[in-house]
Amino acid sequence: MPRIYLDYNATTPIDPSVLEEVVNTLKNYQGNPSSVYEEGRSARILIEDSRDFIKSFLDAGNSGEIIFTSSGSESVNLAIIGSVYAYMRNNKKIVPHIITSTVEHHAVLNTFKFLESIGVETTYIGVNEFGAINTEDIVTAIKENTVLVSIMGANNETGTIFPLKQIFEEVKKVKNDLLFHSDLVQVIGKSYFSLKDIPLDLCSFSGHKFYALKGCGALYVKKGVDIDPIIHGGHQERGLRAGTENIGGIVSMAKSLNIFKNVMNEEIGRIGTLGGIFLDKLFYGIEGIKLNGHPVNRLKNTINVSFDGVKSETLLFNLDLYGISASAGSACNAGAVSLSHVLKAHGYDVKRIESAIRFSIGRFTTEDDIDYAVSAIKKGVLKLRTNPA
Amino acid sequence: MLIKSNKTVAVAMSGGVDSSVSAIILKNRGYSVIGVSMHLISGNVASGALKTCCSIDDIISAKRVCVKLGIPHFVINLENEFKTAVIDRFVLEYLGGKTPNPCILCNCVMKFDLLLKRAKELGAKFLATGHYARITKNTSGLYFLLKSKDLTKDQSYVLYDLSQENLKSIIFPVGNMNKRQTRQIASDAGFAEISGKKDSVEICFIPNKDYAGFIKKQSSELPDISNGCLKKGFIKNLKGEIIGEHNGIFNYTVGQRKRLGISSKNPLYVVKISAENNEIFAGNLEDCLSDALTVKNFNFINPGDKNILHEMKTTAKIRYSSPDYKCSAFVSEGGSVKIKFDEKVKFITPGQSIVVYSGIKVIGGGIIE
Repeated sequence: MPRIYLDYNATTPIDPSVLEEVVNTLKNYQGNPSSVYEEGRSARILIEDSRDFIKSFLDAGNSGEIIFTSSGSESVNLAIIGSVYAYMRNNKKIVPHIITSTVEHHAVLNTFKFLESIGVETTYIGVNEFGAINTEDIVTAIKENTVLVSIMGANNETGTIFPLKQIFEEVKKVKNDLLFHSDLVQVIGKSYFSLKDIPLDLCSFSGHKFYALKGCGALYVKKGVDIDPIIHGGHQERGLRAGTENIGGIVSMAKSLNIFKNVMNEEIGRIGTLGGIFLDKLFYGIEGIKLNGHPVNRLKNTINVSFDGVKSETLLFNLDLYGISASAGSACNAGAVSLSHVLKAHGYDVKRIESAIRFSIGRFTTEDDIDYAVSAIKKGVLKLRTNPA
Repeated sequence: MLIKSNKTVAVAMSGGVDSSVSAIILKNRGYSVIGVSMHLISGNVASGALKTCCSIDDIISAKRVCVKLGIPHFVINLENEFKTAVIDRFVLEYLGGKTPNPCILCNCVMKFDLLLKRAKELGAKFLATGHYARITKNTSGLYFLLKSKDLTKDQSYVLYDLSQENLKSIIFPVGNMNKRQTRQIASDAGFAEISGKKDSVEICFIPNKDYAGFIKKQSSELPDISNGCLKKGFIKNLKGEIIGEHNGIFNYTVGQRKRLGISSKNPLYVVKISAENNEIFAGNLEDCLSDALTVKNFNFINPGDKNILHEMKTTAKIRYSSPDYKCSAFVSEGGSVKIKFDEKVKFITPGQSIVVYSGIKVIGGGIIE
């Protein structure tokens, strides 16, 4: 059976030219980049070329500001824990305070929970029913001891886009010396973003969300920002992240961003149009459905909808049997689906949350895929509505 | 595009050898097979090093089998349902001085009611499990539940609460085999690593066997529980004289001999637990013998058996591992079932289930009051 992949926010397929580049790299660059001989040097230069490219892609000031990590989650942990630890080291008597939103990815929320467990003060800012955040709420939460504000660029579950520039500027107006981190895992490599436009202190992103390999990510750390490492060992990555570099992963990210840079306008336009068609066809074809998140300020590739009277877990499994891959809430290691904390934070009732499914499209999605998917979704929904358990 | 629903079967996969072999057998018979696993507990219990029957490791192991067989595998999240239907009831029963068997509830409520419904929503006509038991149908369309061919592995005891409606949709692919054959099929099919897996024996949500600690912790989260159940109280002899003190009735079960903290010439056993008065009655072994009991809500696998129960030659098990005791049984006027054992049996325990058989046929059963 042909498979139609509609879960690009979970992970993307590797772009074929990225894969080719990775295979060549792994074949031809097997030295340890820290070694002093030829094999080391050539590997080192490949990594530094990748860093340079990513620096210019993001409009960062210099290449040393890009720290390669193993994932978006590691980047987020490094940004948040690293900021707090550095602050605690320098201010022994002050309890640090950190702020985030209730709709962040678990990478952020569970890092906050961990820090809470060792005595750090936290504040979580809620959203309204459209997933919008009130900048004023963030600003008023800032205190004397606030070290860091972490606000995502776009939500992975609903696609809702936060007005990051405005939030950043307002926050910095109130307290210029706090650190502003943004989880940009759903933004970088898929949407327009420039550090010139929003001069964040820290931002995290992840290769496998933009057609590069899984197991590689990066953290941007603005020059002068003091954070502590969370992985200790060798001097790799300016001493901020020990461990021999994942050269294949690093090259894959640079190559992917390079490809994206060349097709950016065309691709964002095409996916936007396709997302619009998908949404229209769903709402035209199926009754009793609701769009979750923001109707306007959203990533057009992400469609999070609730189907009245249908359990999302059952619909997902049925869609899988029809050859369609989508997701709901967050899945644990073993694959059990649990209720979305993001949709809970919107204040939706349990029925709406339990019936929510996220479809996310990307580079390789076609209009035929959408047509097939909509008819399968319709079939699945109608079947489950006529034979409720 | 759609799978043929009349031949689709969902197999409840625990990651163990019996359910894995069930999937292998059904696939070989030409069914369109879907693997399903229940996600019942999360947090430290399920992910820890302790072995349970629905841990992450087991679910991964089930998933591995399905991927190898080329069939889909879905994890059905029934955590809330398990908490309400099994764990909370287990705790309440214990606090009421009973000794419940949560595996029976789990089988009848979780597997053959909730999971079966979910399986049907996936287009499956049947749910198969790795239970050692058999189902047959006579010419007039009546279903019978039988002990497995391998009597040493028979699990029909935990299935006594099934209905005709349930049985219609259930398949037990290993019921006709012995464990050695099952293991052989697993290793022949290339699943050497699961063919040697041990059977799960513990209560899955208390893998460390600390029942008392578990109940103490859970009861603090339950509303409407007076802490009286957790309090110390008296241990009395059958004459009503105080002979000792207990640490809360939930620490004791009928038939228990150890940890009573009373010195006595003859060994002392818990004979009765009175939750109302927070008292435990202890006596000697003879006091634990009884030859009759009554079950209020008795499920008949075949409702027609109600009328001929008294004519049947019956045996009964009073707990999972108990022997088959010869007995006679009849339905009393109030509708409850009375059991009279041929000889006195020891340790009839309220909260456990009695299951009545006629030969290898399960007549039905219920919870001992």
